[in-house]
Amino acid sequence: MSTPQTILIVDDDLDFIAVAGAALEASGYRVVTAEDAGRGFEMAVAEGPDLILLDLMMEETDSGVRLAHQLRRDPITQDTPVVILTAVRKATGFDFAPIARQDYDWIGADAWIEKPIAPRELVQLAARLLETPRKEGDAP
Amino acid sequence: MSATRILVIDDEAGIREGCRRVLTGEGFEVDTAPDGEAGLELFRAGQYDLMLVDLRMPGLSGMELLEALRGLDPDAVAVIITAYASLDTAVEATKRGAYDYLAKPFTPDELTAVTMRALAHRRLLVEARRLREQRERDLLALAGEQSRLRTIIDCMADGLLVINRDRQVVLFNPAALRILRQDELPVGALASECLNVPELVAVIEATLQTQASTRTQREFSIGPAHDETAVRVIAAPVVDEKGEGLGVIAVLRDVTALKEVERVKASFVNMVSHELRAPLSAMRGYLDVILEGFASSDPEKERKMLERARARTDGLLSLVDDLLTVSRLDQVHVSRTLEPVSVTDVLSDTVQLFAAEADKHQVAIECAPNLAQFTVMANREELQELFTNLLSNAIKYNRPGGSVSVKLDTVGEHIRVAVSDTGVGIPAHAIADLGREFFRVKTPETREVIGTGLGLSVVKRILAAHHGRLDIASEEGKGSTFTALLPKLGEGV
Repeated sequence: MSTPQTILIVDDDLDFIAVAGAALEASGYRVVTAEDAGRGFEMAVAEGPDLILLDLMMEETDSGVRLAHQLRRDPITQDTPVVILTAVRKATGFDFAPIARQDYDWIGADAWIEKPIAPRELVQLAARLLETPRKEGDAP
Repeated sequence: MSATRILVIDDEAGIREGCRRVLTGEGFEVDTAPDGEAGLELFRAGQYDLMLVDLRMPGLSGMELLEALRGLDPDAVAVIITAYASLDTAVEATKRGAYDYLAKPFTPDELTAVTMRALAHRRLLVEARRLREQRERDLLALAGEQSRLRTIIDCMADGLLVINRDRQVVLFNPAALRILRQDELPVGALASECLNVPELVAVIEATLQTQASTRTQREFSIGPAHDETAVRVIAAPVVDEKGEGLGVIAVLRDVTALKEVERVKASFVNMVSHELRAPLSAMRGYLDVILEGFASSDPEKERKMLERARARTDGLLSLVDDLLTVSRLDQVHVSRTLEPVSVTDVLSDTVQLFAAEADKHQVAIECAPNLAQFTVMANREELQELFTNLLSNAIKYNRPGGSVSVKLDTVGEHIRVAVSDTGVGIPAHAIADLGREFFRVKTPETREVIGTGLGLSVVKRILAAHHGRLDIASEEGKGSTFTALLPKLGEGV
């Protein structure tokens, strides 16, 4: 692999961006970031990242899910794996993970992870999703 | 016990003396009178258990005397003495209230025998009267007790509702009507037909079914959504001494205020947990990245992370301090030291303390060097905290090259402290929410500012505790002015 793979992090939590960015960069990825959903979409279209980490709740509670669906519809990003990050399980006791696995269309994401996540686990997850393409022949 | 007293009224001296001798010999106390008038006189003066009355006397006749005696004492017992004993006179006399009659001439034994019988009768009458009077007294006490209980029940803040085993309303108080929002409850009506809360009817029914003396507790709400009363009902079966179920007594309590306090508390705990968790998980993230060696290749980046972690730690410490302040200010019963404090001095000192912080943010503080002297009754520490929060916000939410202007003057009966900044401003829709615990304006400009979300709640609480208030004026993108108004104590002190 000559050029590093690019990972886009969309999150309004600057601490998470700093921590996740540092861990992924140290693991050989190129990291680009956006702090809101609108900017996130622009970056996704402009950068064509190999993986998108997306926070569920930013300025609006559903902006993460809305962005996930938007990414699914755009030809540039429709095949890019998306990981949704959330902290709802602790707060609400509601676990999206099993639903996300069963109902891909509803969530529009390839993985659903609960924050806080240890940087090492995040790196492992990114590696797994980037090594096994979701769809055959997804190279443009 | 006092001696038994007998009064003999006869115009014949021989009879009077004979009776006295015989009856005194029996242990009685005997008085005599020669005619009706004298007898009546003695009867009025003293108490007699028995009167022996001659039927035919000059003056007041025996019959008339009998009537007069019974008028004075309905339980007076008299025995008629008659020389012309006939069945007719005896019947007539007893009809008029005489107990018995004695025909002249009579033997001492006959006298003693009739006296004993008459006295026994007298004792019965006295005892009956005593019992009657006692019963009347008891009834009176009972009536008093009932009315007292009724008053207590009617004055209870809690609603009271009693249903018998036939499911009929037996008793209720005004509070029950108020809580249930009903104008009337017809006594005797079926609970299921006259109570407009199905949950309450269900609780009553369930309690009627229980044999043991278990209490049933349930909560329900009454009224439309915008004007709901939360009601807690505690129902217990009423049982007699044999354990037979007689009905249900239900106590209704309006717990609306309690519910609201519980809700506010739960939401506060929720918010606090979230606010404590966020900086801790950020710090944990930085520590993870550094310990895992993800940042070791870039010492500058590693240092920045440690600085950010330290800033989050400081934020957490301020948050805990602010929480303690809010909790202290909320405990209104805690006595606070109020003293005349120079607003001018406290404000100048606070401005001085912020010089370094302002430099760091490249913000200039403009404050007239000779502020007029104003004094307020205040708690010095709280006043310092008030100005600290206002200045800290004005610097934090400013922009490099901006300024903070501090003004002190009076308006009406108030001292006015105005802190203006040239910062990001506050969106109009968010101004009303400022001061709500943990509310923070979220814009790209404010995102990097570490704040507790409690600063303005503290400001508002301090001002409220000093009978002051906070005015906020702001223009988005231009800046904000926070004006604290405190009641004036005096000028030039």
